[in-house]
Amino acid sequence: MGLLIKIAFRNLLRHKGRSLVIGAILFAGALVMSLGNGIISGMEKGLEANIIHQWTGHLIIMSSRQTNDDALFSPKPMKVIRHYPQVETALRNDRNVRAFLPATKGLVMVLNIGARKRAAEHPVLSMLLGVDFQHYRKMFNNSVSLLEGSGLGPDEKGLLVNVYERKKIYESENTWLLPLGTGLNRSKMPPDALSEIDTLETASSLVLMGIGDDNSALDVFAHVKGIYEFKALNLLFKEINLIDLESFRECFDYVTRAESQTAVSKENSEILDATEESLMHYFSKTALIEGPGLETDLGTDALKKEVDTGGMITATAHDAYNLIFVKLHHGQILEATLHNLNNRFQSNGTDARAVSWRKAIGYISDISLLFRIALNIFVFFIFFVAVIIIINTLTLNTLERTPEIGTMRAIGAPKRFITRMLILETLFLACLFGSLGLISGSLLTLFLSGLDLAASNEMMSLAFGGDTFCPVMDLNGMTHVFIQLTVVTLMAVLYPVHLAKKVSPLDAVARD
Amino acid sequence: MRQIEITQVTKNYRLGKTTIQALKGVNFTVEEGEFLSVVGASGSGKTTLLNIIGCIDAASEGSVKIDGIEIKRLNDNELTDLRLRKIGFIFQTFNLIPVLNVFENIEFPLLLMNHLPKKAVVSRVNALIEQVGLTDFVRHKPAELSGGQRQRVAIARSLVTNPAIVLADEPTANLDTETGNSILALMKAINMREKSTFIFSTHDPEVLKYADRIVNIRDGRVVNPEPPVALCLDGRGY
Repeated sequence: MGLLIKIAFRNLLRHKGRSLVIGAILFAGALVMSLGNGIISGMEKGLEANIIHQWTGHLIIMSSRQTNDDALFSPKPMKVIRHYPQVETALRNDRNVRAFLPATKGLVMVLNIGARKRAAEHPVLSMLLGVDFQHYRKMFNNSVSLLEGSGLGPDEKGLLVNVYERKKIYESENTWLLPLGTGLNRSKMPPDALSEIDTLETASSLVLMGIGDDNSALDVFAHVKGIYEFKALNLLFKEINLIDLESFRECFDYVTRAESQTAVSKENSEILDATEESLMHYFSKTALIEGPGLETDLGTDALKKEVDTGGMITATAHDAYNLIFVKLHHGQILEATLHNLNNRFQSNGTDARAVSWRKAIGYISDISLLFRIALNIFVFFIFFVAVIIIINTLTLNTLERTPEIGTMRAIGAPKRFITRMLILETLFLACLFGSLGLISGSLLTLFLSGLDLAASNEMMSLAFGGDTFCPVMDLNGMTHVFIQLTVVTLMAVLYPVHLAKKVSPLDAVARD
Repeated sequence: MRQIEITQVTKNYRLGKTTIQALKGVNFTVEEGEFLSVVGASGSGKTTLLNIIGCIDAASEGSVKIDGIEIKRLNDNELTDLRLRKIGFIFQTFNLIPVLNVFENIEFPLLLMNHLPKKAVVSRVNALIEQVGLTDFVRHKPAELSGGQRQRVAIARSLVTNPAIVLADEPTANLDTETGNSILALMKAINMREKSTFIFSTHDPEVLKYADRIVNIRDGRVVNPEPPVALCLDGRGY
């Protein structure tokens, strides 16, 4: 081995120019591979941290009647999970499950803004996620940042509007949403809104109508309690607005059979029988009372209180959910847990099925996959080019050294000696220049990560795996690059070694 | 004792569509410890014959036996091992390994044998360096040596494994007369001392005086072996 190392090392020094060319390619290859891997790794880790831990959990459970997996971003109405208590029991009994949060999701039409000015075929649509806000914050690591107003307390009703949704409503409807009981916060307002602040139309309550499968949804009056944004990837989830579960269920008619059979007083019966025109009167701006004391007035709570007094109604269905976010102890057990839960649901005839977070986020996952594929193709391309150039250089080197190799063979060096000598020479270069490339790539990754480059649109958020460009180079990544580099080196040396092994001892004299 | 037996050896080369017959049924034997010269004009087939004896080329037909072993029955690894342990080569163009110094070039075959203690290796190499008169050039690389010095290194390298046979293809062709004579004298002295069989090819009549026996080869055939003095004196230009 000492002899091999000696010959290999001295040959590299003897052909400095060629060694430098191969070294430079290996250096550049290792650097690009490190950076590429850092970006891919950062994107994956970012997506995992931001989506799993702050948004979806590892698994999503939905009704087995829900045919599409990408339910989170699909505008299609979601089916109610019919057997929630059984699902809850299954989740509580699964030792892989760390936490779960039942929720509801659906698309609503906002009736009291825009609709007065626009034609009915251009309604304002918003996506609602009905959650117990306190549990939601706990489950998703306090992922929501309140920018104005307040959150929802325990059992408090209300709506939290995403900051982008407010902007969208302002741009399309010229109405600025204000959390109930708060004044205009100029620092949060866009220049257009500021320029017309004196005449700016504001709203602190919305009338929402759920868009369900059977068009039997109810209109619900909801106060805007706060303006918020997700701490990470808000650009991707900007259309999600949070609402309390009770209001959501009312809005989507998730009521018990007892409630649907409730008798109402004559006065309220008139309200229920009202025509579309007269309903508009109830929800027109002049009919709504804003400011303190509103909660006790004409809202649905008041109506329900009256009905409750009659002792005929319990409330909305307490266990009506169409979505359950599930967090596991760690991501490695995702597939196994998914399989177990689905088997259990299927064998018990439970109306539920679990899907992985990647499937649930639909197009986001697809786009992220495309980014990863593109980056991998780029890294592979660099890999390929490096292999070709190194093969070419090493082949020329081998051809030039034919008499030397022939002499070695003639005086008794076996083929394996020649093979080892060539591999060792290339490995020397790979170790030296590859390590330099790996270290430089890692430092560059750290540097880029420290720049805190912000994503300016959804695509960049996906490419970055978060709101800032945060490539990651850890031990795993370095090992990955090291393996890639070793593969490049070995692939590059295969053909030259094949040529060298074909050199006959006769070549020691035949060339002279 | 008969060390090499060559029987009806032919060697054909294909050159495009033409087949060239370099050896045409060569027969001869070599005894152990002989200092034998293969003589012939350029293209007569003497290098081809040496290559076949040295197991770096294969005969197209016929039989070559070294110490009773039929070499065409050996595979590549066995041939390599035979070359390493039994045969030493001295090439016309020296063929030293450029990145190794004098000591390391001579040491190279011993390291390939891979089982000798370091002390024995150093002692054997130093002894040979002294024999070939290169004590002052131990750390020199081939590029820093004259032609004669390089050939001395090649001789030392060929002898380092104590081979039974040393093959030298025109060892003096690239050397001036004085250096050539000194190289031949050195080879002869080693032959006398080590009892190794030396077979060298040449077309220089001056060096034939060192040979115990001469094999005269012409157009791929061995022609009447003649005593060295007669060849030297007949003025046929060998």
